[in-house]
Parts: sequence; C-alpha cells; structure tokens
Amino acid sequence: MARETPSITTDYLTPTQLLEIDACTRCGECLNWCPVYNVVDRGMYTFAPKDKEITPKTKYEFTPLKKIKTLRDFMNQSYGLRAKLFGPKKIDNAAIQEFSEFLYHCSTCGVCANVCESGIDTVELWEAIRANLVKRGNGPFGKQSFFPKLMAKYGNPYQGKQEDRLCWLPEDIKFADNSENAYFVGCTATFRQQVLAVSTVRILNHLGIEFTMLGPDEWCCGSALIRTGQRETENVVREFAKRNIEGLKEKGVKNVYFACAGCYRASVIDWPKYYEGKIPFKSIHMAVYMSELLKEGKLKWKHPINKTVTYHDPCHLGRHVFSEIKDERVFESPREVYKSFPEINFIEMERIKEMQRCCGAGGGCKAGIPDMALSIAKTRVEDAQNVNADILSSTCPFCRRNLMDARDAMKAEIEVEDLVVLAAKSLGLDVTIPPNPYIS
Amino acid sequence: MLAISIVAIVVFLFGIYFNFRKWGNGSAMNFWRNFVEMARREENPSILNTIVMDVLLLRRTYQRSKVRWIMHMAIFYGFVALFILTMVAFAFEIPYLMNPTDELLKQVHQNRENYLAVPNYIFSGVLTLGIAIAILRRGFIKETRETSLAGYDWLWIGFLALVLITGFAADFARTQVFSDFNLYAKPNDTSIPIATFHVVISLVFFALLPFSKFVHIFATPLLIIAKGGGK
Repeated sequence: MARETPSITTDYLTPTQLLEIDACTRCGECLNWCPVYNVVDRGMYTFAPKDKEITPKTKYEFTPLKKIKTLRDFMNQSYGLRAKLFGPKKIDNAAIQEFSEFLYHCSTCGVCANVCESGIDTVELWEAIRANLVKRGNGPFGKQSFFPKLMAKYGNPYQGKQEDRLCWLPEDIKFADNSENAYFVGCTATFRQQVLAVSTVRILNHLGIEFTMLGPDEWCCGSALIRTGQRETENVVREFAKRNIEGLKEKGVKNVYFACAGCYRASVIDWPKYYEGKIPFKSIHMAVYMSELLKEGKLKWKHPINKTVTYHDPCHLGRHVFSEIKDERVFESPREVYKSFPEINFIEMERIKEMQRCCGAGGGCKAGIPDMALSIAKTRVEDAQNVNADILSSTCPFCRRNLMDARDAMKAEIEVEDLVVLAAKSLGLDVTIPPNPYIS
Repeated sequence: MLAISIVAIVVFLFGIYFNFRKWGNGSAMNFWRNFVEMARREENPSILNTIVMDVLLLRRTYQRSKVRWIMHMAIFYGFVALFILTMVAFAFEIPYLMNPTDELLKQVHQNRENYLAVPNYIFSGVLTLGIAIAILRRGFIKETRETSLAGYDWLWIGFLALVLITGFAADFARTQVFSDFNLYAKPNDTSIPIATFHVVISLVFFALLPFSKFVHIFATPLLIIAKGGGK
C-alpha cells in the first residue's frame, strides 16, 4: 500500500523556523499582549465568518501559543517519528482550513515575538506559514485574495490609475526629475490619505529640500501581499520591488523619505529579500528626518498646537524595524518632534514603543477581517481616551485610517492625525488637497 | 542496568539526531549550516553573552515573569544537577566493578550514596519547587490551565513528577525516614527495587525527552543562540 504524502509541507519555512515550532514552551506570555486575543477575550469580536461561535475553548485558537501548538501537531503528523516509521498521518483539509482561518486572525503586530521567552520571531513565522497555506490553497482570508489581481492590474490595492499617482499634488509644489532625495508616497497616501502626501511635499518645499518622486513609475511597496502570504503570487512583490528600486536608482536617489510606516518597513526589511543586488539608497521615515532637521535648527514652528496629544507607535515604524536596525530613533524621533511643538501637552498612553498595542489594521486584517481590525482599534482609542488626549496621532496613514474608523464607531470626541500633518500645520503650511478623482 | 542505560542513551541520541533532521528539512547538516550562519550574523551580540545571559540565566523569562523564571531555573538546574549526581554515583561504580576485591573501592562503592546525600537532597528540593510551581500554575492560573490542552502537558509534567516521587521513595526506603531517620543508611531489601524502578523510569524519561514537549529544552537554547538572544 502506498504511503500517504505529508498533508502539510515545509515550503517557505527555514530550518530556524522549523526549530521555532518546537521551541515554544507554552509559557502563555503572548496571551497577555496579543491584541487579537484581547478583543476575543473581552467579547468585542465574534468570529468571521459569522456562522461560527467563539467558545471558552476556541478563543485560545486565536493565540500565538495555540497556533504554534497546532502547527507543531501538523508537522509531527507529517514529519515526526511516527510519520517516518509508518508514513505521514493524513490531516483533514477542514482542519488545515480552520487553522488557516485562525492564523489569518492576526495583525502580525509582532508584540508576541517581543515577549516570547523562547525568542520566536512570530511575524516571520506567520508570514512563512501563510505563504505555505496560500500555496496549498488554504489562504488568504476573505478580501485579501483580491490583492494580487488588483496589484497586477492597477499597481496598487485601491484600483487607482497609475497615471493618477500625482493627482493630489498642489500645482505650486516644486520637485525635480532627478535628485539625491526622493519622496516615496505610497498607495494609501496617494489614493486615500492624501493630506499626508500634501503635508509631506509642503514641508520639503518649505525647507528648500530638493526631492524627486516616481509618479506613475511608483508601484505598491508589496506590504499587503507579503503580510498575507501572497508574496509569490503572480511574482508581483518581486517585480514591484525591482521597479521601485530601479526607478529610484535611475533618478540618482541616495535618500528616500517615507511618510508611510508600511512602505518604510517594506523598503527596510522586505525589499532587500526580493531584490537581487545592492539597494543604493537609504530609507528614512519622515518622523526621523524631521527630528534630525530639528536638531540642525532647520524646523521653526509658527503655530501652537494647544492640545493634549498622544502618540501611537505604528508596528511598522517601531517594533518591526527596531528589531532589524536596532535604532532607538524609530521610537524617540517622533516623540522629539511632538515635544518640540509649541504649546503642546504631549502625553504617553499605556503600552508604548516596543510594547505598543497594535491598531489592528496590519497583516491584511483591515481588508480581510475589518470587524476585528475595528475592535482592536477601539481598544487603542480607549487607551488615548484614558489619558484624556485631544489628538491621537501616529506616523502611519493605515493606522490613522483604522483609528479614525474606530473613533467614528465609538462616537468619540478625539482627533486622529498624522505627525507630518500636525507638523505642516504648525509650520503654517496649506494642506488643502487639490480636487482630484480620489478625494473623499 | 548498564544495558538499559545504553539503550536509553542511544534512543536519546537518536531522538536528538531525528530532531536535527526534522528541523533541517530532512538533513541534519542543513540544520547545522543554517544554525551556524544565523548564530554568526554580524548584528548578533557575542555568542558567549547570549549563552550566559539568555540560555543559562534565562534573561528573557526573568524579564517577563519572576515566577516562571524560578520554575524554569528550578526544574532545569534541579534536573541537570540530579542527573550529574547520578552520573557521579555511576562513576564510583565503574572502578569497583573493574576491581571488586579492592577494599577501599568496595567501601567507596558501598557508601557512594551517602557521600552524595546532601547535594541530592538540595537539588531534589530545587526540582520539587519547580515542579510544584508548574503544577500550581496549571491548577490555579485559568489561562495556563486552559491552554494546557489535551492532557499532553499534564502527562509530561506528571512523568517528571513520577521520576521525582520515585526518587524520594527510594531514598526514604533506604534511610527509613519515617521511623529512624538515618541519612547514612545502607541499601536494604525494600529500597533496592524502588531505587531500580526509579532509575529505570528516569532513563525512560531521559530517552523520551527529544520526542516530548520537553524537546524545548534543546530547541529553545538553540533558537535563542541562533537569534542572538531574540527580539
């Protein structure tokens, strides 16, 4: 009788990741920090799709601990001693599908990796397993499956036209064709959060910093595909990374400024994995850049803020990047800028910096599991309310979107604004978005 | 007993090799190549620092929970110390077996457990503390209890507890602790079968370690070294 083939493969998993699966001590520390488990445990989120019920037992399926346990069981059934002796044990596809659904209930915020006593890099592990499940046909989740087709067709997930990449640009903004500095706008700021793009170019022009942009030659950074395990689907990620990097290279760029934490993370951590060759430029987030300009005395604020402001560290600017580049500036720079604003009462929330609470939008959750993303964002808005903040600010347009949605759902009296927009306003710059087809 | 010990060691080593192969996607060499490459990355702190602070002193655990740190330290060092003491006792036996007529070696052999009694008591106590915390955590902390699924955790902690209890039982039988407490007693008729059972069950436990939940004893330190201490 022929032996079964393993029901689940080790595709995309490195030897270190296979080791990670056995390294979990099941101490349970991740349960204390996981934003998904938090909203499930508090009853703020019920399963998507709605026909499933969360029981006291199934709620643990959402935890990193249980996800690793299930994966370990699958791996042992396929590659363990019994499997070697008697052949792999068949795993029901329904069980793998169920595991996949729980696995996609994760914003890949990475706080569990920070607190993991075994040092398991959960973000990379989840992304590798998601890629494995996508290949197997058990992923992605919900609307996330539209990403590859949308990206391949439009170059972005918002169905915006490539020729409209600069539709938000005020007429009086000056930028060069070629320059040592570039602003990478990102799909969200281009098509949805245009005030961020306008504010960024206003600041750069105001300070007399010459810069270039890719315009119609800018493509999605690929973050959404990588986070949802679709990194190999239709080769979009590799192709877009190549186009962006080579486009910037052709313009002679040495410094690329990002106002979007997601794009910044992709350029620092993801692009080097998909681009064959040396990336010839440095990626800098606008928060870090503004902090440097402050130190050089180049930023002179004109208008007071007159509000209590709190800062939400985006996972993609803080925790994810910090673990890679070990540069405290990803946490400190935004804070230095806030504190420098005139007449500002800057206050910290609970859970900040590397232990920050995720807004819930990442990991494909905003598209795939919007209810859960919203529930998690509500907990972050609660954090801001608990310190009586007037403004909940961040440095990521995707966090801003989700936090605004939560604020609206809660009918909370709190402003949600990006640091770059606050900076532009404090410099007295006009952040009006010119009329365009994507203005909301 | 020697035969059982050899079998246990062979099964244990096979288990370790089997895991290396599993982690290396079918090749132990592949695993080691990847491990060395990861551990030697430029951004990692010195390996010695990681081994001392994160593997031997469990810094990451200490940062998150003092109770779990005590539990892990107690189970790990208690178990390792008792294992080493057992090996030492075994080492006393070899010269005697090679030369059973030598009076001095005979005396050393007969009293070997007495020489090791105090450190054995200390580390048995340490191990007991660790296991007690593990059991109490699962008994009283709701989330720990509810995530210790399918009885699997209980099975292995129970196994470890059984090793410990039989060790105490063997020692109590030898010293007759409940009647005339005699730390330096010689083995008697009751103590020998209990001690034998304890040694056999300990060896079975040791042999099965790489196939159990306790595989993390090997996997976690390797991972932490590969990751330069982790995030």
